[in-house]
Amino acid sequence: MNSLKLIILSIIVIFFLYNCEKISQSLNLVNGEVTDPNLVYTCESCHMSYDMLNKLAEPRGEAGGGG
Amino acid sequence: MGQLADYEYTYLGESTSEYNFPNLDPTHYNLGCVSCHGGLPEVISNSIKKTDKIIAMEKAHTDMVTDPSVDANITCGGCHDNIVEHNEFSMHTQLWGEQFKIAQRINGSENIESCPSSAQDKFSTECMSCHTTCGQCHVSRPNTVHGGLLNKHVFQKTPDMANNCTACHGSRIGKDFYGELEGNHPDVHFTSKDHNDCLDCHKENLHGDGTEEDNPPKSRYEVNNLPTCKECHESDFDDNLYHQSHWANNIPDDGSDISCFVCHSQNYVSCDGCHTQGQWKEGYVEVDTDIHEGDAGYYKEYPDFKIGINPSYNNVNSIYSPSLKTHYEDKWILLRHIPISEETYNNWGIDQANFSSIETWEYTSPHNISRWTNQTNVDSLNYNSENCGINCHAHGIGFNNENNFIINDWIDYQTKNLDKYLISENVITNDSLANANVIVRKNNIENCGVCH
Repeated sequence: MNSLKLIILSIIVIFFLYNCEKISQSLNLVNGEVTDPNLVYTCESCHMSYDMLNKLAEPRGEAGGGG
Repeated sequence: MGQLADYEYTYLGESTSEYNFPNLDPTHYNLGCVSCHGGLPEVISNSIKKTDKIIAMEKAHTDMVTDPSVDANITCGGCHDNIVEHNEFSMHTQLWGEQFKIAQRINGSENIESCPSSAQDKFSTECMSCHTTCGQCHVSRPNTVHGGLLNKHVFQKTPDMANNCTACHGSRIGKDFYGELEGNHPDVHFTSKDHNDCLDCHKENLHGDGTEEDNPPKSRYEVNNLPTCKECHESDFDDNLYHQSHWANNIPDDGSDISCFVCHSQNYVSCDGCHTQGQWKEGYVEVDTDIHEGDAGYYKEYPDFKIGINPSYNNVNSIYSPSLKTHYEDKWILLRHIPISEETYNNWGIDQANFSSIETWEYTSPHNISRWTNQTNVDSLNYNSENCGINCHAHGIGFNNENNFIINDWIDYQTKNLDKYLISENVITNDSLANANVIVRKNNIENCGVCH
């Protein structure tokens, strides 16, 4: 019985470590630092990119005119 | 005005381009976005999926200030302290003329601070929503047209006429100046080579000149150093007999002292009831029918042309409204109905007990100047054209076989030129008292001495 528990616990630990690695990989984390520049956004990376703004900008109303 | 694409509202130019905000205006760019706008300088998205990007974007914009110049003392004032200090009391910031007129009509006072608190609150949240900030002239289009960067966030020393000036001053000034009213042509200054921008004539200090805090103007016509026609056209006084006999100079003996605008303006827009539910124009429905009597919730714009009498003529210290007093040299003036009725502030819980203290047909200076108009087009330069009578002179002028002037049988009330004058029939009952002093009386038109 104890052996079975040990096996199950080992599987859980391995699964946990595997997922940590996957998460780390997906974020390109090395020692807690994000290394994938595609996931880091500054003001400039959006507001100086036609592609980004064109996807994310919300529609405004009619320009109209004042009084 | 042109509609911007969605991305253009906040686009700083492509990062790889030399024509982007950092390259075109490094002084302001190097201050850093968040130093003025707040928010976060950097965020990390969980993935490159759009939904995650939107989450990251919203996080980046946490507590962000769209228009930092709302608090100009902290932002712009760091470098432009003198301008910011004066601008706090400028006409654009304080809407002095509106304050004066609203206060006059409510209780006869001269500023909104002397009015009930509900009027102060509504003035602050509704009227002042139109006042402009530094950024809405120098960086973006104004809020009234939903903003949008002028040129990739580059700070413009000189505001753009179409995107800034007439974005706010559009329904009347812009429509007049560009000749958009049906049957009109553009203002002669707009089509000229040298003076086709607002600021070519308007050299007054739009930031305020530092005098307004102690001596706030009671009308936009009281702003110091406003342009006048005579600045450029003084020498035109004796160009022709029309100028000589009509020129406004406060000397009754030498002519009839007619405002330049009376002869050289085309039709212009008057408004009724624009604010009658305490909301801005967008919340209103334009109607074709006459809504003079205050059908709250509707507004009406209509082309018109009305000549009135200035009761302040020849009396700079008269008791009449500031805009009339300012033009004391002009006996005959143009009048425009402004969007006010006795019910206008009912939604604020405010009665205008003093409504009739100031005219609702106000002095106006239409920006659609033309040498040849329905008034000046007399077909002749020998000064005896029958068109003088047809165009303006309500008593009807004819001429005999010797080409000498004769006056026909007094006034012909049916002549079409009577439409050009503000007479009692044009004014609704509720407005009668307010406009009593600017209305042209028929018996005045009959009487040669009134003009001559």
